[in-house]
This record gives sequence, structure tokens and C-alpha cells, in this order.
Amino acid sequence: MTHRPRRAWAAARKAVLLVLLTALAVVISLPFFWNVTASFKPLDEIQADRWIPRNWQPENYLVVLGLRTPPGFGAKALNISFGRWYFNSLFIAAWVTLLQVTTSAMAAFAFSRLTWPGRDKLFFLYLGTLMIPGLVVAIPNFGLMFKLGFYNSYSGLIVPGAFTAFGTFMLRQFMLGIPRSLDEAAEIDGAGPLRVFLDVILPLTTPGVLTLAIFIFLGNWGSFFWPLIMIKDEHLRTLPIGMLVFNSSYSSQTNLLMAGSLLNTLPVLVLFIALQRFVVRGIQLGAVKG
Amino acid sequence: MGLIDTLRSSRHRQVLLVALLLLAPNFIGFLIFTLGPVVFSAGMALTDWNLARHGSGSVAVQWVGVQNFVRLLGFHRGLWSSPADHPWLWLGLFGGLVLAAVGTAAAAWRLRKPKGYSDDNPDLRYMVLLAVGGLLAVSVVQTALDGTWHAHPRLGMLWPAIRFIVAVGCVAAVVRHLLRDYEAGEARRLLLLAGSLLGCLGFGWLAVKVGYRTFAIWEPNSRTFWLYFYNTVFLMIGLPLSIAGSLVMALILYRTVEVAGWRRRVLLAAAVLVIGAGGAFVLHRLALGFSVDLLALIAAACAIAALGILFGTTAFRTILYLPSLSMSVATFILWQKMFNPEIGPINNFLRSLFDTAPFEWIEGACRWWNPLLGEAWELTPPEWLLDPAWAKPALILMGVWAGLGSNSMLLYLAGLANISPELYEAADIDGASRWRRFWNVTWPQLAPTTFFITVMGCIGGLQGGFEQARVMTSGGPAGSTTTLSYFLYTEAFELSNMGYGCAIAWALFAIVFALTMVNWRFGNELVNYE
Repeated sequence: MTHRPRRAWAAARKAVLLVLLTALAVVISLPFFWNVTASFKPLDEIQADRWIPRNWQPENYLVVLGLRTPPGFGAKALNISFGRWYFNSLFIAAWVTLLQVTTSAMAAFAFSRLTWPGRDKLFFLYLGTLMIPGLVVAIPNFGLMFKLGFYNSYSGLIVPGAFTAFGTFMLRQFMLGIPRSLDEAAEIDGAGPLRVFLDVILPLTTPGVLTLAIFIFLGNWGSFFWPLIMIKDEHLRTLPIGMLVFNSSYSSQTNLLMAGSLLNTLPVLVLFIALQRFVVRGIQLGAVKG
Repeated sequence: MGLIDTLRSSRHRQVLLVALLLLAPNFIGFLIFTLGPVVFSAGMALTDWNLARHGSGSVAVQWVGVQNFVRLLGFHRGLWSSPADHPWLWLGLFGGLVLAAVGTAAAAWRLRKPKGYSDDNPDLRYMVLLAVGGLLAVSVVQTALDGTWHAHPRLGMLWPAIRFIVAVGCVAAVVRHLLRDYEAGEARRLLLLAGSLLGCLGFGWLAVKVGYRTFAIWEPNSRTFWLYFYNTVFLMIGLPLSIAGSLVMALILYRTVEVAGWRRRVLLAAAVLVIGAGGAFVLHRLALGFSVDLLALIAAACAIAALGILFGTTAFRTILYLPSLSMSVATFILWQKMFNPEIGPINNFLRSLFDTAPFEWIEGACRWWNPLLGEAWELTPPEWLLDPAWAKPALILMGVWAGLGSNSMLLYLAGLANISPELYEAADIDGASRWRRFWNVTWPQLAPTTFFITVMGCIGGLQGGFEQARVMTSGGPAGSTTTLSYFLYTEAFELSNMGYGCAIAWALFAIVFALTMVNWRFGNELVNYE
């Protein structure tokens, strides 16, 4: 008979916790709620106290996507092209991710599994540069891009991101966690180091590679500083730069800006929710082992 | 194993070859885009390289040595005044400072080693609390002396009031500790010492403040750098708030709200949804005067609760993590619009809040207290990003919003999962209260996590603030939100002063490096790795 009250007590505690968490989640999400409701408002309703629009205006999204000219703009077209920005961001982030993961995985294998003279000293050099802020490197790299002719081009955004000490470091840590006996067994079977890398280590590193890939992708998707100084042409703008220009040219069109802002945030949210497991593990791994 | 030996064995030769092959792409890229630029940047910092002037190649780049750094960090004798003009004031001030320093040191030393308690001293955290509380109290006094209340008559008294409350809390905690853990006589003696410590500290602070105003003898060559450094550090006030917030979040989210069994979950979630949405709809139909917004909010809350029932704590972790995930240009624009003084929802809310009875009463009290305000005075919401005094608090608010459920929360969750349950069992056997359990088990066990988060947060914070400054405020108003990174951006990429920009970057690096060293030195003492 003593069980019943205790179970009721536990259920009540869960209910209280649920209510508390819901309240917390609602408060935290309030800016997003406003973002959504404001993006469906006509411009003259933005100022109103009311959050829920009186007249819903989903056309805002069509305007932002360039499918319709906004009322009051006449023949003047908005120079916002979300399609182009999406493509540029996606293209650049995908290439950087691919290249960086490839070079990092190769180097990480050389640093973690192979023994060669000078290895640890070289790795220490890699580690040392991790401490230096990116801003120190940004200015000479900017000049270098000019010299190489990469200024104001896709290459200028992709190539410098393809080689980082961070990716190498992270994958090395991951590879060190794989039992040594596996590659020793493969070596006894007569496999060379290249075969060990491709057939033994790489398949086992997949979760680590995927985590790193998500990190790099998200980082480049939202990357702001480098594209800001590297890009001049309109058709090369990435999503963040496009949003910046959008905001400075149409700063009074709050409803359109909010629609754009939502279109900007949604892909990241979808990607995160789909791949949550890897991201969370990656963040925790980086701290515990790093 | 030397290189020669390696080359002798065919197996090792093969390994070396493969290693070089695999390493080559990354290493070459690393040399070109990381290591090379680091070295080059150090050289550039010593030149007067300006893209506009030297871009064409007709004007040679000059080697200027450390002149950039002198311009940036150096001080020169100001024109204001010299010590000879006010010898007595100067001497008194200097003497006061020395006295305060000596007094502080002596009181702190005595407090550290009370008579008869050679190895049972007040805890370090109480000393820190005391110092924080004292300094805050003194700063309140100083604010009052400076007349800030009159300078910001609207909500200006809020800051001193908050500081005062925190100060009283800190000092009360110390007093309670002393009274509880020490004998009456000893406690009185320690209290006296603590009081004198506070007095000396406060006197020293005031002396510095007054002295700064009276004698600006040494002036910085570049006022902007120190101002922007101050801005950067000011914006980092959000860091401890975020860390504490993430810890609280993690402690809450660590409990489970999972309902057993899928069928029950779905039924319960559906019930919550139906009750919430149905209730909102019925209330709306009844036209009881509830606003549509409130009903929509109820419906949204029920939807979130239903999600929570369906997916358990994971749903809440995801929702609370979303702000930090979404921190990009789009979200900065969102907050810029929210902070808009005329049409933003924050000020809409504040305006309606100030119309309620309690605030009418507060307004009345303020008018009575300070007749200078006038009969018509009333509370008005701040102008946030358009007001130099409120721009930084606004950005901090936004940062805390994003920081609550950030990576720090995930790290704390991982840290909590790593605490061995045996420790809690042992604490339970000793009959420890929840409070004790937290301070004696959870907090020390999480110390490495806290340390890591603090170090990374400091490194990031000192280099941060660029995006929000560029997107939301352009560093303004009146440079109040320009951080060092935005300063670097304007110097190097808007004014094309590449050499000077590199000097700023290296100065920033030096600050980051020094702070990290300090963190390591003092943090490691507090962290108990097992």
C-alpha cells in the first residue's frame, strides 16, 4: 500500500517539471514566435501591439523569394535573390566540408597511426597554431588571395577553408580511440599502411568524420567575416552577406526581413534536428578529450 | 628512431612514404594558409602597409618598427596638469592610496590567518564574495557621487539598485558564514577585520576614481583602443550569466519527464493538445476579453508540452539549444528589430507594463523622492541600441538568451552524466541536504567542465562581438558597441591600414594569451582533477 502515494508523488513531480520546462521553452522561443508572426504581417501592422496578424500576408515569402514584386515598389525590383544566396552558401559549404574532411582524415591518420621521425614535433606545431586567433591570420591571407587572384571568387572562399589544424586535431583524437589491435591484425594479414587506412581505420572513423563534417558545414553556412571581406560581386554573395545587404537596403520592410530571416534559419534547424545525435556527441567529445 | 634508420628498413621506408603522401595536402595548405600568414602577419605589424597608399606599388612600404604598437598601446604625458600645480592634493591622494593598499593587505592577511585557527580559515569563495560585494557597494556610492542618477533619470537608478542588492547579498553571505562557523568572539574579530578590509578597498577605489578625474597626467596615445577594450570586457559580463544559466538549465534538463510506454505518451500528448487548443478556442468564442495573442500563447505552450510528453527531455534540450544554433546574421537582424524603440515588441511590452498599477505607484514614488523629475515624469522604456548607455546591456541580454542553452549546457549535461552515483549515495548516508549535496558533490565534480567553459568563453569573448556590431549597430552609438575585433575590421578592411590592423591583431592575441595563462594558473588550483 505504500507504493501508491509514492508513485503519485513521482508523477506529480514529473508534471511540475514538465510545466516548468514548458514555461522555460516558451520564454526562450518568444523571439522566434515574433519572427514567425511578424513575417506574415502586412507592413502597417508591424507596429501594432498585437502579435497575431489581423490580415495574414503569406505573400511576403513570395516577395522575398523573388516571385512577386512587393506593393509600393513599382517597377523597381528588389535586389534580393534568395535562390542565388542559398546556392552559393550550399556550394561553398559543401566544397569546404568535402575538402577539409578529406585532407584532415589523411593527415590525422599519418599523425595517429603511422610512426615516422619528427611526427610529434610537427603535431605540436599544429597544436600551437590552434591558439592563435583567426583575426591574426585574416589580414595576410586577404593579401595572399589578391596575389593568387582568388579575390572575389568561389576559390577565395573555398581554398583557405580546406586545410585546418582543428579538423586534423579532432580526427586524430578520434582515431587514437580505435584499438590498435585492429590495424595490427590487418598488417599481419599483409595489408600496407594505405590499405589499413582505407579498409580499417576510415570505416571505423565514420561517426567522427560525420561529426566534423556537420561542424564544418554549419560553421561555413553561417560564416560571415571572411565572405564579407572576400566578396564584392552581387552574384557571389552567400546567405549571411545577402541578408546583411538586404537589411541595409530595406531596413524599414520589417515584415520582409523577418520572412527572410526565417528562411535563413530554417535549413540550419532542419539539419540540426535531423543529425542532432552527432552534433551533441561531437561537442561533448571535443571538450572531454580536448 | 632517426631518419637514417628509417630509410634503411624497407617496411619503414614504405610507412614514411605513405605518411608523407597522406600528410602532403594538409601540410602544404597549413603552411600556405596558416603558418605562413602567422609569420607574415608578425612582420606586417611592424610596417606602415596601407592598401590605398601602397596598392599601386609606386610607394614603397616603410619599416616602422614598434611604432604601430606605441601608437596603439602607449601613453604620453597629457597637457592637462602637472603634479606641481596641486601638490597637497596630489600628496594626500598618493598617501591615501598607499595607506589603502597597506591596510587592505594587512586586513586581508589577518583575515586569512585568524589567531587560533591556523588551518581553518574562511573559504576562498567567501573572500571573493566579500571583495565583489564591497567593490559593488563602493561603486554604488561612486555612481551616486557622479550624479549618474540625474544623467539617466529614466531607468538610470536601476543599475545602482541592482548593484546594491547584489552587494548586500554578497556581504550577508559572508557574515552568515562567519557567524555560523566561528565562535562569537572570533567571529566579531573577523567581522571587524572584514569591515576594515572593505573600508580600505573602498577608500582605494574612490582615491583612484577621484585621482583619475583630477590628474589625467598620463593619457593613452589611442583612446579608442582602451575604450574598445573596455567595451569588449563589458560585453563579457554576459559570460558568467550564461554559464550559470547553462548550469541551471543542465540541472533541470538532467531530470527526466519521460512517460513510460508509447501508447500512454501519444494519448497524453493528444489530450494536452486537445485541452490546450480547445480551451483556447472556447475562450476565444466566449469573448471574455482575452487577447488573441494570449490564446495563441496558451496554444503554443500546449504544443510544446505535447512535444515534451512525446519525446521527453530531448524535445526540451533541442528547443533550448536552438537560440545558440541560430545565432547568425538572420538572428541578429531579428533582435535588431525586436529592440527597435518604436515598433519593437520589447518596448511595446514594456510600455504596456509601465501602465499597470504597480509601476504607476513606482513612478509616483520616484516623483516624490526626486522633485527634479517634475510632475509629468513617467517611466519610459529605454532606446536600447540607439542609446549609448543601453546598447551594451541590450547586446548582453541577447547573448544571455543565446548562451543559456548553448554548448555549455550540453557540456554540463555530459559532466553530470559522468558523476558517479556512489558519491550521491555517500552524501545521502551522511544525511546531506540538497544544498549541501550540490555544493559538496555536484559543483566540485563539475569543476573541470566549468573551467573548460570559462577558458573557452574568455578566449571567444575577447575576440567576439564582430558580427553583432557589423549587423546591428555598426559599432555605435558613439562607439559604445565597438569591440576589438570590429575595431580591427574597420582599421584593416575599411581604412585599409593593413600594418596597423596586424598590430591590433597581435595586441588582441597578447591579451587572450595573458588571460588564458592567468586562467590556467589560478583555475588549476581550484579544479580538483581526480
